[in-house]
Amino acid sequence: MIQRALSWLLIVAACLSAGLLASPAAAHLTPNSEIRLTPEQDFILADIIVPRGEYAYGTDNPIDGGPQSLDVARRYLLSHFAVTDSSGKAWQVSIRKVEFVKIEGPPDLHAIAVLTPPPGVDARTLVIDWHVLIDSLPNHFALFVLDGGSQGERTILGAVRTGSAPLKVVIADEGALSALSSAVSLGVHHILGGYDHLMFLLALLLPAPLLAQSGRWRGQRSVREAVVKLAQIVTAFTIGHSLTLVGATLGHWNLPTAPVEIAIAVSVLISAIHAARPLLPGREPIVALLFGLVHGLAFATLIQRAGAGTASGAVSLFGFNLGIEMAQLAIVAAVAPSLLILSRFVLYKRLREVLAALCAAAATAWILNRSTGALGGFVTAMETVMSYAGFAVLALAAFALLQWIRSRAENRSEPAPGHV
Amino acid sequence: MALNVSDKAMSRLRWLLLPGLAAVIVTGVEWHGDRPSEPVANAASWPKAGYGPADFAHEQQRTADLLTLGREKVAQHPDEWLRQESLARALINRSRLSATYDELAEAKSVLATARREAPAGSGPLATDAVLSMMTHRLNDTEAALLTMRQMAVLEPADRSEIESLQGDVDFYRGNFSSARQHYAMAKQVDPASDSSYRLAIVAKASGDFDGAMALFAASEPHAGRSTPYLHANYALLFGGVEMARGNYRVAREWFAKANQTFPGYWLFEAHLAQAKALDGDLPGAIADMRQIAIKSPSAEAMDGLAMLLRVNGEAAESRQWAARAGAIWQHRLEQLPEAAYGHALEHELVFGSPQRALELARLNLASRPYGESQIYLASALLLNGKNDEALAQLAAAEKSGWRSAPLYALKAQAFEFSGRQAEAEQARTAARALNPRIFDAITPLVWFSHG
Repeated sequence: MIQRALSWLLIVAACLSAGLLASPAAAHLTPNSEIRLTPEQDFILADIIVPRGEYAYGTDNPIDGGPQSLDVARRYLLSHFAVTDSSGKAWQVSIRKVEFVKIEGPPDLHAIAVLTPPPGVDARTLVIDWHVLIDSLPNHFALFVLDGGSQGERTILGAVRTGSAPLKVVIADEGALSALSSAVSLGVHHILGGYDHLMFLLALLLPAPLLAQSGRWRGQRSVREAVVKLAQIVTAFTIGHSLTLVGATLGHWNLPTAPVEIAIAVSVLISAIHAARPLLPGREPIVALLFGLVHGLAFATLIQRAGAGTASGAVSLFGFNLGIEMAQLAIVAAVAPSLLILSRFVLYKRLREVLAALCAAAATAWILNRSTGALGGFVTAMETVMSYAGFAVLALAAFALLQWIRSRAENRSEPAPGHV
Repeated sequence: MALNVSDKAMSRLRWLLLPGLAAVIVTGVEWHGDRPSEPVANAASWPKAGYGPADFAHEQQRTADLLTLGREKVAQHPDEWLRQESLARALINRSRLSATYDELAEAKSVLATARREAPAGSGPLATDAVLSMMTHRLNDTEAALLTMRQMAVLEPADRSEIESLQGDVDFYRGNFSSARQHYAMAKQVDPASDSSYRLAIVAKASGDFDGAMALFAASEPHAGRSTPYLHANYALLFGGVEMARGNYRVAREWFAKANQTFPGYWLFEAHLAQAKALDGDLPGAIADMRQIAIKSPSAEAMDGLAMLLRVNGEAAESRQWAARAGAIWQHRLEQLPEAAYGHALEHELVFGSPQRALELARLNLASRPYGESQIYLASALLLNGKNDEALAQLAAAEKSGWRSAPLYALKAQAFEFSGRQAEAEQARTAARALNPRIFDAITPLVWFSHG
């Protein structure tokens, strides 16, 4: 009897638990503001994002995007936050840009403010007294983040809400040398972790000691010629990526990442095919230069994300590029001697073809992954394997050394000098 | 010569084709490896329900008739507690479709009369236990269960249901393991009983979304033996799990299926309107939700509408609807306070005052001291600048086994307020692992089923 009554009622209760009487699943999230600070040489840029709906709800100001609404928004912002140094001396605040724009999801009020300290005051220590919306909307808060830093970190500085004390911000001054070394380190780490850049370079180096004959890699360059060719390739690649890196960074080019990433993968595929069968024999430096331009765009995207290009200006840009070159030259120095030695042996043909095929397969996987999102798991696994490439370089060097010793021994044992 | 050129071309082509072929093979292997297992429930192949009123209007009529009958019986035999209990059940039944707490408040009062009329050791214990559970009165539920346990004659099925209800009480007290033990005991006492539905609730609260889907699917009666209303509610539950893990598109399919299975019910329609907003059609969603709020008129729909209007920058109308909803919540707090705390609190957190939100959050936690209430209290504490207390509440929720993206999102926020960047990042990662879209700009649009 009880059971029947309970069963019936529990079905009702089960339905209700999904509906009217169900306690809400968890706390509701409301849109909040975010302010990104980017330190420049003598001032700080504040990129302000306030959800448009919250702005309208908290102020009743117009949000139609017309000149009047923008003017009202500008005046509202300027009158609702102030910046001082730690002793209370006021900084100058100006709004460089204000707009209602859809960045992600519902539209936002977006503004860029320039925070300038008075002459002689340190531009790295400031106190922000923020009242935008938080006074009228008690559940609204503003999150302050420090954008950039030469390591590309997004540092949370703090959050303010109604009743919060003014936010004190101290931005660590890296100093020119420190900024340079951080930027160099970023460049080195980027190239070492940028397997597509490395693979492009490796694929171009593979046929460098060889000469093309009748659509095949058959002949051999002398050691001197091969070294010159290697130097040409590396220099051309450096010039190419430096041009676009500097241009894109200083010119503030706004580039979509996806096409650049796909183009880089295509460059790896083409250079891999060229390593197997000469597509553009003798023109490797030109190929390196042209594709270097594309690779430079990717470097620029990274440096823009890291803020190194703007945060510390030319020093960081130079340091980042220097880091890339240092890592690149170290890799060439580690790989090229082995390739030069091994290219004197018959087995190099097979080795070159195998490496070219691996590069081509990796490039194809990247192209598919970057254009369609497929092969995510495979690419991750592949890049994990690539992270152990240092061991492969060592093994290659050991193998080359072994071949060279064996060949020397064989030459000595022969009665008359011969040619391999 | 021509053949020679062709051979060369073919030879070069081979080098272009080889990597392509390798990639195709790898894609195939990966596709095979990544191929998701057959979903336990699928909105696209959702069967039709077997019997019962086909839509909201017919179900309303049916419950109204039952209620009229119940009232007539009580009018003729006002001193018989069984008639009173029967009326209370009709009221509970009716309350499913209602946008007010009127029926439940009346059921509570009718049951109080029935208890007074009943001889000692008897009375509407089962109905009382269930109503107490539904209205978040855990102590009253336990008291009713205690009396039921002392009854002289108890069938295994009765004992099994008592154990299940005890498990529910433990769940809402934040004791997952004890809840599971009681559900297991229920099965032990009566092997024919099924605790899958309750275990699904526990699984969802533990962040085990696949498990929750499987258990909900296992608990649902065969479609042929289910009413459209019940069947549609299961679609809503599946959609709720998908919402909790950020699969907003899949959730929308489930909500559409619920609405299609049982048309005219404001709750399903509100979920669909919200899904429209998540798909980017905010004006369309507002128009739909406005109709629902007028038609129902439900405080939840009004709050949902006020939120959509607020995000769209329509502040004046947003405030109007929020004020209307606020008045209804106030009335419900007077009718059935424990049942209303959580909802009224959510309203206060977004549209009201932080102090009032905190007051309600403490009452809510006292009434149901489990993870969800702790998260609410943490929200209110954060609003009131009490970071450390908020973090303590969230830690307690986590310790109880509660896992949800909003929990970790809130934790991240609390750490951000405290300037603990690394821990905030860690919490953000944990939140994204449960719901990759938790920090999306559109997520604040979610009012219903925001798990």
